[in-house]
Amino acid sequence: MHNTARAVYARYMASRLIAGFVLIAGVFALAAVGLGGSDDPDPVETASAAPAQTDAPDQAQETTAESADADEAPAPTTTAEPIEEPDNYGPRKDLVGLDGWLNTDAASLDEFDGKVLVVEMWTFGCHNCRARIPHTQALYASHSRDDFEIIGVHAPEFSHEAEIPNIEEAVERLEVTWPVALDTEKTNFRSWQEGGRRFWPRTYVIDQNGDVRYDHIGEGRYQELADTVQFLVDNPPAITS
Amino acid sequence: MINALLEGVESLRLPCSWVLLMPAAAITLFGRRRTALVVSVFVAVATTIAWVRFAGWWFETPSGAIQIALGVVIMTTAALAWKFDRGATDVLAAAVAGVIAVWAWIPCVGPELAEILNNSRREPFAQIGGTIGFFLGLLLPFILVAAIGVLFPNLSEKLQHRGVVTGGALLFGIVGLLFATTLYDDLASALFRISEF
Repeated sequence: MHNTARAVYARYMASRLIAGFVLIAGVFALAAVGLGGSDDPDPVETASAAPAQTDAPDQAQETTAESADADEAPAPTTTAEPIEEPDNYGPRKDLVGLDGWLNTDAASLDEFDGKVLVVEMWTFGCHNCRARIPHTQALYASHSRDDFEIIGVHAPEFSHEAEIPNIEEAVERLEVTWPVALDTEKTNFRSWQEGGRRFWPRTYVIDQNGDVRYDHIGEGRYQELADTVQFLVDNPPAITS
Repeated sequence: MINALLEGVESLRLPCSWVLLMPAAAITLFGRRRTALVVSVFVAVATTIAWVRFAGWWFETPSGAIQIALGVVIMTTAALAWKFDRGATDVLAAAVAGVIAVWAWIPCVGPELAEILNNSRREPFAQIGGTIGFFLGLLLPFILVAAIGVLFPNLSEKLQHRGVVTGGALLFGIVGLLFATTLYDDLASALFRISEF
């Protein structure tokens, strides 16, 4: 009986010790994030940037910027060393069942064939999608429209993000100047992203033959994206059709 | 793992996360004297399902008849947990909440979660630590409530007030009802718009 009481007491004390540790660690974590700024998730990115990433200094600069309206977009720079040829993930899917397009007269993705395309799944309410925009603007400005285009596929998460006037207002406010396909029913958001792995934002690069050559989920790796685009612009694949 | 945890904490304020946080809030409220247990079960189940999902071994996000059925399951487990006040029913409700919350959740992806997701197909086991870190951060408020309950039993008794417990069960039931009627996203949308004022 005495031993049982001691065991119960020991268990009670152990649980209090663990709870105390969790409480202290949790408060520290909250304080760390709170001190890092309330509107900018990028301190995390900066802290974790691998030394090998050539865009690390640009990301560090970004920590001081409001991600949604950062005008000082870091210009993508080409790396001095040639990058490896990007993998080929096979033919892209079509964009179907759209509610229309913004910033273009095009009516189909096929009209952009022959160019290097960056296709980005996004929605204007998504913080991380907005954080990508300054980088996408810089990438857009760094290439001619003759051989490169960006296609934003706007797939709403919430109902107010599905209302076209709200999308138009957001596109203007966020200075999204590239063509935007309105995927209001998320048909393409689902079909392009297989299985249960669907996320905002998601970025693909399509080569001049219509093959997917790059696939990235979320923020980050902006230099890798810029390098991939540059490689494909400089080294178009042999025409297959 | 620490960076993932911090990004998880950051993600608390993103409306994309609220879809997942509402069931967590509900089970924390109606956990009664078992708050630490139900929160632990929720965190463990949610983290496991998320990791499996990130690795590509999980199903499509629920829709149609499956969504209706899951909504009914949520409401049923909420009612059972509220009525019987047993460890088994509370754990069942927490596990159901964890599975469905993560199943329905489509995250907005920051840099740390991006690294986890982009690598999880190729090296799923190497991403376990990061996934755990992210979820510990994302669910930190509930973990803290559970820890406070263990450290300060007097405060914990206040959490066991019938009004709090009923409120939690009601919130869980409402989540189930909105889920079954496919209006859950609209609730999140409304909260998002309110938060922007």
